[in-house]
Amino acid sequence: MAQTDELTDLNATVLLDQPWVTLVWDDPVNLMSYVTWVFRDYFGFAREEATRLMLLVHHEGRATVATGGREEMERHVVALHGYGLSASLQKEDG
Amino acid sequence: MNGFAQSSAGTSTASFSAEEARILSDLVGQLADLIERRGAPGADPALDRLLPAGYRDSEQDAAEFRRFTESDLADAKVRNARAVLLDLSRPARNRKQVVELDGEGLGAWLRTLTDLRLTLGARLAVERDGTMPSDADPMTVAIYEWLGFLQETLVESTS
Repeated sequence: MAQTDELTDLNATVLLDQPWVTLVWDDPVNLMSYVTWVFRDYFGFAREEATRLMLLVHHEGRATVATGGREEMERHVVALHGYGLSASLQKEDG
Repeated sequence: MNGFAQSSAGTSTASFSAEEARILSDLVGQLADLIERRGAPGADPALDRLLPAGYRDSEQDAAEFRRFTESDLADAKVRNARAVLLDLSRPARNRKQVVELDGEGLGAWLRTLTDLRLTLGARLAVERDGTMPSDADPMTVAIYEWLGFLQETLVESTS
């Protein structure tokens, strides 16, 4: 049984597509406090991590806030649009 | 003019004058109408900001994504706006419109204040660094800043 499990894990890894990322882009309207609140509310990040990502968006113009499968990233993007953040998804090295 | 504050019960509360409540209701009603009567993307910068592209590197993927998600996203924004309108239409206490928020109501208000600021920001053509164009309408700027104050105090009142 252990071997089967290992094989399944291996397949899952080998067959995974190239990862996708969810990006949040800087915009001139949204408040820094609100963007931090969204990262905490939606992703459940601790205040420190949410603040770090918010500052990354602010200073670098964008930040990767999630990595994973395409459908999952699409769910994140539409949820972040629901909060009014500027978000998009793309392939990781895109 | 007061913003939101945390109550002893842990809720976020604000008390609006009749005039403030009227202005806010009017703006929120306009926001819901704007979203409900939207046309094709690309026609209005405010709507393009409210319902943005999900892909920036592929127009085809962006169009596909929009086809599957835009209608639900727009409906959710209108629902949030209607929830705010309902909160602003409750009977006044001592000529004050008292709003008390937690949970879902809080989420609806934060999102709607955001959508209002995004819309006004597009109308004012706020610069990339957040500065206002020199010819910006002072009344619109004042309302934009008031909405920012409400949102800032609402976020603060949650922690």
